[in-house]
Amino acid sequence: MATLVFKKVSDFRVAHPHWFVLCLAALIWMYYLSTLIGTSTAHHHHHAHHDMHAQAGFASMTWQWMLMVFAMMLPMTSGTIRNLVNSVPIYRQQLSLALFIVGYSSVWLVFGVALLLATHMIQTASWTAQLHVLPMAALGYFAAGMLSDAAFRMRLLNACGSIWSPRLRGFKADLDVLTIGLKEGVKCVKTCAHVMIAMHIAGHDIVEMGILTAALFYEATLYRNKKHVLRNTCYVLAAYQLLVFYLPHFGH
Amino acid sequence: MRIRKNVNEIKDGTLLWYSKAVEEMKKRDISDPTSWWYQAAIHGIGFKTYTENPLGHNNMHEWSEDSIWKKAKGIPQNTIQAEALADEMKDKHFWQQCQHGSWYFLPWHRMYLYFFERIVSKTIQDLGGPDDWTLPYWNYFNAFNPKLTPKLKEKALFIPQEFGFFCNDTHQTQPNPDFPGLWIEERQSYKLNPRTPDHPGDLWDTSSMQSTGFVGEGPDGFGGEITDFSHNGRYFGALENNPHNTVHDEIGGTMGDPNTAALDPIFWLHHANIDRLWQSWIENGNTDTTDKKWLNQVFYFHNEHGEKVSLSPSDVLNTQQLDYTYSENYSGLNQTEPVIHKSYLRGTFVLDTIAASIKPLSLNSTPISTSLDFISSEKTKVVLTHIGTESSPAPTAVYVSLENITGAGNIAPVHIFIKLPNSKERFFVGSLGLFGLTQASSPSTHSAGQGLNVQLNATEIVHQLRAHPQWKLEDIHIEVEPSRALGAANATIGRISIKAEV
Repeated sequence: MATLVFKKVSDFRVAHPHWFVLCLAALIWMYYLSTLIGTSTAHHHHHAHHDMHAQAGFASMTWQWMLMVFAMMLPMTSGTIRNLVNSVPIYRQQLSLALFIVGYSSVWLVFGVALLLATHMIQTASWTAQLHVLPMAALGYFAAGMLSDAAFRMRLLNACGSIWSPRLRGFKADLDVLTIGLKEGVKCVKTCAHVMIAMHIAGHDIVEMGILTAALFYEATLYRNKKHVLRNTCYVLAAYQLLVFYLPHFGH
Repeated sequence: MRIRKNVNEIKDGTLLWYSKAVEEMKKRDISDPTSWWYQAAIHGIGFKTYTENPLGHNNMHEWSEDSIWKKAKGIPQNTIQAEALADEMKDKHFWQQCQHGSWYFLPWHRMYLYFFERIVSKTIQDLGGPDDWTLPYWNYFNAFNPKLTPKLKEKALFIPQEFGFFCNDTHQTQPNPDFPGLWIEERQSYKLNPRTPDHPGDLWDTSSMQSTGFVGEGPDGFGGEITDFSHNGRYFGALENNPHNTVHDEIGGTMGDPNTAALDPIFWLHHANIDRLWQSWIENGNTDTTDKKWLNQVFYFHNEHGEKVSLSPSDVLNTQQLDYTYSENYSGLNQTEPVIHKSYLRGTFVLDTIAASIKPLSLNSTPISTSLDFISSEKTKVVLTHIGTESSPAPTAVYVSLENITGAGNIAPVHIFIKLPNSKERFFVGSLGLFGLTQASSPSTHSAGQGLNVQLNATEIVHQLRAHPQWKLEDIHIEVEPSRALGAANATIGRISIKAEV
């Protein structure tokens, strides 16, 4: 029995070399879900606004940002990880996976820090007080929707998952894998940054995160030729945010 | 039920009516789904110029996608406008939809041929022809048919003369005057290369028919690897690489480029043969995948009335579902059990990368070889077992993997050899067709631009070579040689690696 279970687990690991990132993402989603349920129970509230702006300290905000990246973006790298793992010797697979994630996360970290700094600067500028009269979250999602079908984005989306095979071993091979992670990160930022910015403006609602992750996952991994899925999702969220803005009780 | 027949065995007016139908369909505007141009654009359309994508060789012909497609009726002569039209039709899921490097390769092309045949048949009926016209197939596998005479074997290698000739005196091609619709100027070769003593098993052969699983991560998968919608895939399936790709590249010209291939009337006979081989493989007791993702993927076409229709692989698993079959003909299937017979279940067949080249390798018209960097034996579980021993009835599978092949132009099939140290001898591993090289090398909405990948099964040759006195795995070289001079085309192999079964 134990042998059978071991074999099943082993087969699963081989067939799904990206299991680690999926587990990591699943854990973060479970954490979000528990937060959602906890908030709902405590406040009889339909939504759990995980408002990053309300978090204390820049480090905490950065941590929350990276958690969101791992939850939403890491599952999108399944194809890349599969190709990477299949192109390196087995004894180097775990190291390569770690180096890939370091490279990939670094790009999102730099982008996240820049975004948080920009947000802080905008919030402290006096003229931005006037922006509160505008439905910023709806506008953000609307702009994200418009960008979703752009030709440059479709090209990048198609590039997701494809890699240049790294060298076989040694420091240069490590560097190759790190570069693959960095390049994948840059591609991902270019492809998905507009959505992440829109969510940042909207305040990181967990339900909205879930909806957008599903749309991104569908678009990136299930059927790339199917356009408009992400665009339409963004438009629906823009409409929802518009309703919430003008009818504040709608979302409660 | 309609019966598709071998083109070398038909004696009726099938080709004459095909020629007339092609001419008639060419008169129709490219916006008409039943036009020759629209049908070809479903497979691929592009407007690269000669310098970007030479379709000839040795600069004999300044053919390009642009020069060929500008002949289409109704296509804007301004390239920017033509590209905009192509993009619009692609976004509607009608043009540039061919599936390559993918497990959708076989079902998509079956659907494509089915609707094409109906359109041609209706055109023939409208012209006053018979109502039972069927698409013939070109069985080049008959070159290996042990039951045929040498003359008939040789005949199987040639494009039938109704499609035109290559004049040795003028070095130009010319149409058969009785069948003008079947000729296309931009056809580079009229004959497939037969095996030679120097290249045993050369160019294309029947090895793909011995594959036992539909899906695989490499050439052991008969039908191709698991992908999403895939205009340019990562790895070719066995049948797709050989003979599909190699025959495309052998004929060359329009046939050598996915964006122009379907403009050549011989394209459809070549693909009818590929479709027949799939059917034969199934009838030999093999099975397709039952994955729901594969079965339910929807593709869009137009029928003979120009109406939008859709089909899924589950609708085309057997030709009888589409009311046609093939005449009995040689399919290259071994009657005996193959030497390597593995239950190729995804996830139970593990390959380890044990060696790789250090630098990219640029192809020349002459042979070029590279050494390989091996990992130490302590760091891998790969053990090369012997063929046929009681404890290990199957040998350890070994593959030569050619990754990130980028370049431009139409390159004839490339041969891969293993060379032993201090020896001029080389041992043939296999051939690869770089069909779609240009498209796979530039980023687009259909391609990541990171090139083609091919895996060749080197199991038998490696295990034979292990008995060679000069055999030392760590010292082998891989040699690469195109079967024709490159001319203006170019290609670079990003990495060559050796993968072996754990």
